[in-house]
Amino acid sequence: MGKSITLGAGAKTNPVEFRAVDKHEPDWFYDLRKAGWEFYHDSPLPSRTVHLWRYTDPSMFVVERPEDSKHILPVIPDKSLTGKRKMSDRYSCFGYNQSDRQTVTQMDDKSRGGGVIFKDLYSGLRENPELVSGYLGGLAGYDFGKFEALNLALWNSGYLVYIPDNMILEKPIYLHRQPTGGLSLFRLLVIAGMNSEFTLVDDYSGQDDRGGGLINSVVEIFAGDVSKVRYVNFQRLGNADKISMTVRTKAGRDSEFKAVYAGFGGSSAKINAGTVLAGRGAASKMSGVIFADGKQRMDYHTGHHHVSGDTYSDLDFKVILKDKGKSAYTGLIRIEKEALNCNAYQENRNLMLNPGTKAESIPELEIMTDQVSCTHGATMGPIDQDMIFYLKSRGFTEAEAVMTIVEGFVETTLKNMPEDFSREIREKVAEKLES
Amino acid sequence: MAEVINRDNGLNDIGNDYAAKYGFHDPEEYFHKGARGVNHEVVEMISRMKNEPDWMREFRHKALDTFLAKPMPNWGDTELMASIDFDNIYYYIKPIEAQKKSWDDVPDNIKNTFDRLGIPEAERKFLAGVSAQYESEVVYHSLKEDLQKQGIVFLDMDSGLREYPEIVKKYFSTVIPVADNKFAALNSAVWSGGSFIYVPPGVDVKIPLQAYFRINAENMGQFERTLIIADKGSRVHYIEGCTAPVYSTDSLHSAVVELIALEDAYIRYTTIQNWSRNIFNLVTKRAVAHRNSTVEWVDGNLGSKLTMKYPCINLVGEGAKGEILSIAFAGDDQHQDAGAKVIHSAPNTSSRITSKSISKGAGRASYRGLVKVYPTAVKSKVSVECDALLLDPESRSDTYPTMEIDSDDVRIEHEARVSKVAEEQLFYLTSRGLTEDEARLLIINGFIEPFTKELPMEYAVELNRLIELEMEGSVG
Repeated sequence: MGKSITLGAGAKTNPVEFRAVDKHEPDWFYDLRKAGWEFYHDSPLPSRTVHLWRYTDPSMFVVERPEDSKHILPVIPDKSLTGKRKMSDRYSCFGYNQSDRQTVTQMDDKSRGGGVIFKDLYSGLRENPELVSGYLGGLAGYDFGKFEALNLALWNSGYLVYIPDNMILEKPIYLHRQPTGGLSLFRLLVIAGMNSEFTLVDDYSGQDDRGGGLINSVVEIFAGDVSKVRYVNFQRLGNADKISMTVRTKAGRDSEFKAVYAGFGGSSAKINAGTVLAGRGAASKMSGVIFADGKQRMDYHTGHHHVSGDTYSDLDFKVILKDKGKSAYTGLIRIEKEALNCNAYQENRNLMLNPGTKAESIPELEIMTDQVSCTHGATMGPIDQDMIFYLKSRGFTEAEAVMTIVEGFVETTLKNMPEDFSREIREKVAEKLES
Repeated sequence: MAEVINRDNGLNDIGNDYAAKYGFHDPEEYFHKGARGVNHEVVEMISRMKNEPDWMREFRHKALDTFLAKPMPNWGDTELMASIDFDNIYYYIKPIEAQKKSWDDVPDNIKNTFDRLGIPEAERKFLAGVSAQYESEVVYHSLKEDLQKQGIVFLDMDSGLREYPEIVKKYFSTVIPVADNKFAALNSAVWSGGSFIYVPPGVDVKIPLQAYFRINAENMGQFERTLIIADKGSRVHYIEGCTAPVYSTDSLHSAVVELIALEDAYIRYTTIQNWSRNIFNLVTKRAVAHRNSTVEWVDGNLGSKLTMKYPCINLVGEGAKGEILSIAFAGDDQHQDAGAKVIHSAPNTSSRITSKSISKGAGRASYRGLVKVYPTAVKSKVSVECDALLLDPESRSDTYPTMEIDSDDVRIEHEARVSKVAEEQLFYLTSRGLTEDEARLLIINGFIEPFTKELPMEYAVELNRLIELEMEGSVG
């Protein structure tokens, strides 16, 4: 257990004395955290006049005196638990983390034998410093944004996933994080070797009856050349949780990156998901299924940044709104001058089930060259009454008809997911429809 | 595959000969030319010279306070906007002492300007009325007698204020409040000229009303103010077109246009903007559409250094319709930041936005749009379509649409496409015997066809001729 940091008061005016969180903390990591710490204190709140923060008040994610929080002590795996629990054979790697209390990492024999590195990020820092130092903060660094900086400075619970070159994992890697109130600062670093192939499920779950917590998560994924990575971000936090999460992927040459965002939980979710198409021929497919009911506010941003030529991106984002649910979807496709012959698609559909819902959609394009083919589309509206009428005439009740249409609405997105999780998402959709 | 594509297919030089074609300008002869910069004295002077009522004078002073207090917009092309030097602009110039009643009385140098633009011929023979704006005052004004008999008011804004004070007071600045944005506030403080149109109930103005605008003095800001009121069941089509000579230092054009379509009325407002490449064109245009009325903005943006213009329609009455159709052509070092705004606040309203943009050379065309649907606007329909054509690897195209939908019982569709001139289309056309230049011209004409077909014939001809001439010029 490391010693806690003691930091001076008056953070904004008086640069804080910044100490090592952990006695094993290497210098480079200390410097990186310090840079994040200073950026968090010095940078202003994100401007609400820019689209990214137009629909969510950033002040809700500000942590006053985070240095005083007991939640920033590093979470080191509880080895006794790791041994006792038998790992499910559904996964190649299994990680479980309950807020700041305990964390478990398990691997099957194939992964261990093949050279997969899967451990909590603190252990990774100490045991694989050359690997972690080369990547940590490489996509969401200390100056990426105020809340990303806070995360870099004080994250206390994280995973390191390294898949060696040419390694193919048939079974998914499953990471389950369960914040239990208070402040949670999660971090995930994924390094996919050349020609590797795997699925990673990043699951955030919480319970409704507990008091809400504040979750700040940052995910960095380096998809190596010719790799095939599938990333599932499953967000089903408790109804009082607030989450701000940033996911950044760098897709290497001829790699195929597929990401699915399933958003169901939290009172307010601010998610920033982006892929940089850095290598020639890289392809990124991103899809989303968001369901907001009650008084939930979902604010998802997606970005596809085409830096290299011959790259392809496809975005398909589905939003279902019920009760007083609100969604703000903003998306950006940016194609640089050097990135010739790119194809980029972006589609956002919103299904509004009753009056009182709100949907915002801002699909943006920034195109700097002429050698492109780029389209985007957005639709918003209620369920077509003709469809309901048709199904009712075939013997469906109104509720069944709605259910069938909503299922069809999300089906195209779910078919890209591992079966276990697409089933869970279907159930989650059905549960929300019925409630 | 490694075929060398000739990038100079007649497109690179579009608009480059602008100076030779339109860049003439007259020696400056002005009755009154105030000092540069804006302050309460200048505003007082403008108001006194125009002999305005007290409410307007107070309105101007309040607006100036708003202008001075308001920060510059922090979105859009902030870099270019920051280069506007408000203190180096003439805010009011009165070219001739009094308005001329007939064309013969208009001074020759001013006539020449219009002649060289090819304007008056068509206007005299074919069109109803012309309100040609030369500098800040309207110098020429005619309205056919039969229109006058129908009770249609078509005046410059200053005369409108004098002759119909109660109508002006009732509607002026009700659509665009002074504090709407910094440039609207500036216009409210120093406005001069522009058109005032009132169409009485049930009157159908069969022929389009036109005004030509032209800036002619260096560092001269033009702040016209247009107010169009179409009373119940009336119909009117208003056209403005602009060209300006080329100057070395930057000029600012910041108009405010307000349209009010009362019940069952129809207003179409057509603009062809071809300012010279050194002009900032920062315009606020907004319409209010009452029950079952229709408002259409037809907006062509070809010139200027930076245009920021987002024609807006507030659909406040049940069954109101709005349509915004725009094209933007961004040549070398031009930034066309154009778009559209539609706000639905009543049931059964519908709107359609069609935006076409062409970027050439280092030109940048942006579409910036807003669709807002309030919970009260049930059964509303919105359709947005943005197409962009990129002609060069240096060109840039942006799309920033915003859709805020607070009602579930609506239909919203948005689509955007960005592409270059398709190789297979060029191949097909050249295989049919067209040269590559002709093929490209044909494709571009086809691309903007939805826009040109909405223009009155002589405008469509003018626009097509402009594009054709520019392409011809680049070959020779």
